[in-house]
Amino acid sequence: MTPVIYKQSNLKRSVLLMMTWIVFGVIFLAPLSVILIEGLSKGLGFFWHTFANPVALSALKLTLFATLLSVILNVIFGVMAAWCITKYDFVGKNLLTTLIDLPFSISPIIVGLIYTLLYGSQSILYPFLMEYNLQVIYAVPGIVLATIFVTFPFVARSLISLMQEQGNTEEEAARLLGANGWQIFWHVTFPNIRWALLHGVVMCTARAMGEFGAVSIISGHIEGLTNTLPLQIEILYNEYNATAAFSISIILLIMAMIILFIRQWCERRITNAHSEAGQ
Amino acid sequence: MNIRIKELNKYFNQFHVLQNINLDIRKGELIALLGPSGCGKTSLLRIIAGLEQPSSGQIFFNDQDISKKDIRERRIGYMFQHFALFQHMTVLENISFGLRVKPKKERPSASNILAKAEHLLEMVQLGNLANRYPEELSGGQKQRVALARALAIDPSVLLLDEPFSALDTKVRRELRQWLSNLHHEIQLTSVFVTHDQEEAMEIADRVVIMNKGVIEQIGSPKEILDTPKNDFVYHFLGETNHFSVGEQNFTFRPHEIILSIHTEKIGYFEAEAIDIRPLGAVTKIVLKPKDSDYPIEAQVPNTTRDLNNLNKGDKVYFRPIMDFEI
Repeated sequence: MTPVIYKQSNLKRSVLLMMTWIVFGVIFLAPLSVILIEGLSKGLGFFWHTFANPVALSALKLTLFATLLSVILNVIFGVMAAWCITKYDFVGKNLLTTLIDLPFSISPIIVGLIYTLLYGSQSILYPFLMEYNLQVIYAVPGIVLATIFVTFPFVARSLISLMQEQGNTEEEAARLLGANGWQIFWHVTFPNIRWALLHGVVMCTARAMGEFGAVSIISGHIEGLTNTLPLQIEILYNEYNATAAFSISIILLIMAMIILFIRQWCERRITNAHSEAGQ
Repeated sequence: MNIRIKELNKYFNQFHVLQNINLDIRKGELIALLGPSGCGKTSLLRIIAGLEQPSSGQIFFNDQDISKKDIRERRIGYMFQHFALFQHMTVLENISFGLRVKPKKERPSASNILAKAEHLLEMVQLGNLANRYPEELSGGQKQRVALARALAIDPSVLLLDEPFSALDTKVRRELRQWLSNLHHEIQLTSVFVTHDQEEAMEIADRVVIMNKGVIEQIGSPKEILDTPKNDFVYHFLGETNHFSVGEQNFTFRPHEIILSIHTEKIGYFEAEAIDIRPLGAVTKIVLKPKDSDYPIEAQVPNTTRDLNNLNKGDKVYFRPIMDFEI
């Protein structure tokens, strides 16, 4: 219910609302509509033509592949990290909890540089990697590694707060009733965290698809091989092919919108889970 | 199953939360671990269950050392303070959980599991709620589901952590009696933790009084009430009055008193009635003794003669009828 106090001045309210909409329009709506208008300015035919292009298709494939792989690995690592932090006591727990957030505060470009130095041709690891013919930098493994790094906190963060709030008693009850570790996770923990997990997955997907900075350094921009969609957009834009750049942006935009709606839906479920835990 | 706890110690960091605990629990007994919060009673229960590891000492179930045994081999029926029901499972699924997670070769058939769960549901008088979810149940119903779930695995012992504390007073009394009757029926060795001395006295066969990590006294409710071993036990078991006159010290319960409104008899002390509260079967009277600054609480049957003639501010004479020398 809206508190009465906010209803006192209709004028103030309208001015505030209008200003909010103006800011929202200038910062969000205008750019988004420009993408749509520009991307479709040469007609649907051109739009499709941009994608029929094998270079663009390979960029789309690589983006989807890197996103899928990093989301899967982040789910595994994220659940493991959240489980350790909320279920066990160990030395260095606070350090680990803090470090999980590091990718949020570190610039992605630095991540790119670190990986280039660590796995690139100057690195002492390089001869060893070459022995197994494992090219990391300027190749797909590097892109996936960088994407995992920048998206790591999403799954773990979503889970840790909920799991801390829910506590361990349901798991303890299951253990006392004879359940093994896997049964406890699958029958007791997982149903309690599934919406938070999905929320983490969605956030992770959104970030992974759009990642530019770290991937830009590692990829080497080899068209048709190591270009992701955001990198492809940059290349097209630098080649003064703005319409094609915007056409590809539309695809990223649509994927982002879908994810936004899934996120909204998850958050409602999580609110329910929180209120259950609070009971 | 009898339980023997031998020289058990537990440290949390520097805190010595359980100090040299020795306790024998007989087969079929209902034992109460009673003490103020922070006395270590819940830690002791959790160690018996295997949820915590003791720092030193041993626990025997039927003369078999289970200190190192995994929680799953102990077959413990455990009821949590807030029940810890599985929120996303129905009542029936909650109760059958312990049977459904058994290894394949020990697991009963699906129809046997269902039959057993339904039998337990009937026993806890919740047959009509099989398909409800925990959030749709009242506190008392949740508690009975938790108990049925614990009993489903045919536990060797039943451990209950503050089983009644999350319930309101009326439900608490009913369930207390019901649990006591159930215990007589199934004769399962049971240990429950409580900070409520009335609860412990009412249903336990023997009471273990704990304070600051040590056991102060073990005995039947009668033994403990009649012959408290020390000051702590005496004070913990109920309201106490202190009164001293000259060299004489008196310590006594509010009901251990005789009042008279008539003038001095031998052994009676003079006081003023500063508050009178009828509480039903008894009436509580607060007295301010003539030569003492500390008020005394007296509880007398409401049938006491002359009680109706007593008013606030009146002179009254009292005599403690039982001394406890400290």
